[in-house]
Parts: sequence; structure tokens; C-alpha cells
Amino acid sequence: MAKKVRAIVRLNLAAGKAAAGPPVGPTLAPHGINVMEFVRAYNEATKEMIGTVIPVDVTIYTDRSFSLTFRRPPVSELLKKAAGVEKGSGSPKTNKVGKVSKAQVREIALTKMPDLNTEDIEAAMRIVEGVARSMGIEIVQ
Amino acid sequence: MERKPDLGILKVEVVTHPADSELIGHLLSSFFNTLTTVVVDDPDQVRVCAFRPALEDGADILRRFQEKCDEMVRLGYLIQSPSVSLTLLDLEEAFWFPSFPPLLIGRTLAIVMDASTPTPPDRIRLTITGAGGFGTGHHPTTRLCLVLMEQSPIASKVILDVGTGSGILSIAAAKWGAATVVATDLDPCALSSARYHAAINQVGNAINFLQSDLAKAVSGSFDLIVSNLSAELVKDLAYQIKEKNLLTETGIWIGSGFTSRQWSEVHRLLTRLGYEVVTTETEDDWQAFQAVWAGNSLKRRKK
Repeated sequence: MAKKVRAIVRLNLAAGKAAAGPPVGPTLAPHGINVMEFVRAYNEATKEMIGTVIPVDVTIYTDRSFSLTFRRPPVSELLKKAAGVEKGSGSPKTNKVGKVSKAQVREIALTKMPDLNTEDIEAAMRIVEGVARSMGIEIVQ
Repeated sequence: MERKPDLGILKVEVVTHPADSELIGHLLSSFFNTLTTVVVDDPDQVRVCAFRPALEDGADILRRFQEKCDEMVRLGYLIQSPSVSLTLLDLEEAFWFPSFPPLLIGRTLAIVMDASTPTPPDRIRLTITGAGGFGTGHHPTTRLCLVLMEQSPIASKVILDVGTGSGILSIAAAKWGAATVVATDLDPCALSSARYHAAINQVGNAINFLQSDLAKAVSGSFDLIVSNLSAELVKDLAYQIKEKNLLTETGIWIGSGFTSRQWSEVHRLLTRLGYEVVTTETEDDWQAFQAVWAGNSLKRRKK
């Protein structure tokens, strides 16, 4: 019989560098799982990717066991890579830090779609565009 | 100005539609300068959360965050305007393990995450809540750095901590009797976390905090440089230390933040730039080194 799921939590964490403090502890501990065991498993799986953010979905079962599903980096990280910039703009309205094409937006949307809670590519692209806008990355044709 | 310690951890929680969670997460992360978590309640509702040390008044940031969300709704990027709540967690709520045992590191340190955990009387006690910056002692690289620091002369010395995170290495250095400690971080949130930790460990006046991309904004020369970063950043720092002459002739540089696999590349660069690696430590495949200028024997500087 399949195990019964108690909760699903997505944690955006720095690869290889998760620690027991917030956000990990206060998010996972109420569900009764062994936080140190999670930290060790996450760091072990992501240690070669230090310097990036690797989201992980933690599925927690009613018997307090858990499983991990690693996700693609956040849209903001994918946009930075596509635009070739190191960080987003502090004042995105006036200070544009980079550009991506509509095709790149589509590609990021496709890449990240399994994580975006939508099956509609237009909706996924809208999310990518929204993030781009708030980072001062322009979308060009 | 010394900040009031023991304010606890601020939890920012945003209830929203699942399809909005990526953008909300991004906005929350950039406004509060920290990573976020998403708790899935049901198919129509998620909670996006961020945790920060409750140091400064978050109300202003929160107001700007809400304005930004409203704007994104008007522009059609968000389905609905989220509801936001702030909760001040005291240390016991923020850390689920009030009885979590102290972490004993090296010969002299005991690290705890909350004020109520007792520590052995013969150990120096550090309280590191882990909020906002990396380095709680639970990661091997932090322990490796502390162990190598313990083996290095620190009392009355001038110390530089590059990428201080939670402040743990600087605080340990101050406790070991350093004359001055300069601690840098690029992330303002990490710096406020480090200031907070310095204050609750009563060494707030011994550490100068500086916002800096690695050591770019640092001047002076140091007897000991500590840097728990990553392979790439350690390599960048190797150039900066050399160009800016940050390490005294007899100084020691301790670095970590990479795996044994990445070490050989770092090691090659250090050798090429004129450093000599005198000690390495590993734990769980993580690596740390202690380096000096080539030709300077460590012997006469050992504790």
C-alpha cells in the first residue's frame, strides 16, 4: 500500500550548504521529520552544484519518513543565466540590467513548467515575464 | 550601535495561489534578501515563507512588498493579491530542538542554537541561531575552519573573515582573544545576522562589519584570514589577497567551502600564486586548507 502523504514542502536552498537553522528547521520540524537527516541528504546530493540554488520538494509521509525530489533552479536564476547577468536590478523600473528574447522566455517556461503548477505554456511564460520584469530584465522580440 | 539581542526570528508568511508561488517566492526573496520555502496546503493554496532575524523594523519592507504585489496583479502577472502575515517566533519556536545537544567542536568550543541549552563549563560557548546567514556549526566546512583556526595563533592578532555569514568564525576569533576582527559579507542580510550573533555572544564591540564583495572593500594587512566560501570564490580571493597585500608576511590563510574533488584545482592556483598549503583537513568529503606565503615555515608560528 502506498504511504500516506502528510505534507509537501518546497525549500529553495543553496546547493551543498543547507543548515539546520531557519528556514529548514522551523519549516520541516513541525512535520516530525529528522531535520539533520534531511540536511545531510540534501547537502550530499547537491554538493557539486555549490553556488547555485537548487529547490527540493520534500514529501513527508504520515510515518515521518520523507522523500526528496530535486527541482530546476528558480526562474530568477534561469533568467540571470539566459541574460548573462550576475544579479537582478535593485530598481527594475529605471535600471535595466539585461535582455532576454521571447524565445528564451519560452524555453525557460518549458524547462521550469513541471514546477510551476500550470500546464498552460502561456501562463508559464507570463510567470517568467513577471519575474523578469521585477528583476529589470527586458524582454525583446 | 549595539542591537537588542534575543528578539527572535521573524517569519513572513504569504498565503497565495499555487500558480503565483514562483513569482511571489522571487519577490519575497528579493525584498527580504533570503531564500524562501513553499508549503503546499491544498491544490488551491500554498504558503510562501521567509525567515529573518527580527533585527530591524520589517514593516517598511513589507509595505513595499505588498505594493509590488498589487502592481503585479494590476499588470496581470499575479492571479490574486496575496495575504501576508508576520509572526515573531521566539528562539524556542524558531528552533524545534530546545533540547538539541551542544555541538562540541575542536578542543575548546561548544556551539548551541538557543540560550537555554547548557554547555560544558570548560568550553567556550557560542550561541548561533543560524538565522539569515550560513554557518551554524552543523556543516562540515564550518567545523573544519574552526578546527584549523584553533590550531592557529589568534590571541592579540588581527583577523579578517571573508564571507562571514552568521558571523560564527569571527565570533570564535573574538572569543579566542583576537585584537581586531574585520568581517565582510556581500549580503546585507547575512551582515545583520552576524551583528545579531555578535551581540548575543557579547563580542559586538570586537568585530567590525563591512559590506564587501569578498575583500574588495578591505584594506590593511592581517595575521589570519578565514574564508568559508566556495571553490570559485576562494580562487577569486586568492588573487585579491595577493594584489591587495592583505596577508602579513608570516600570516596564515584558512579556506574551505568546497569538496575534495574541487580541491586539486584550488590547490593548483594557490601554488601558482605563491601560497604554500601547510595543512589540509577533510570531513565527509569536504575540504579545508591552511596556507602561508611559500617559504614561510609554519613552525615558529604554531601555538
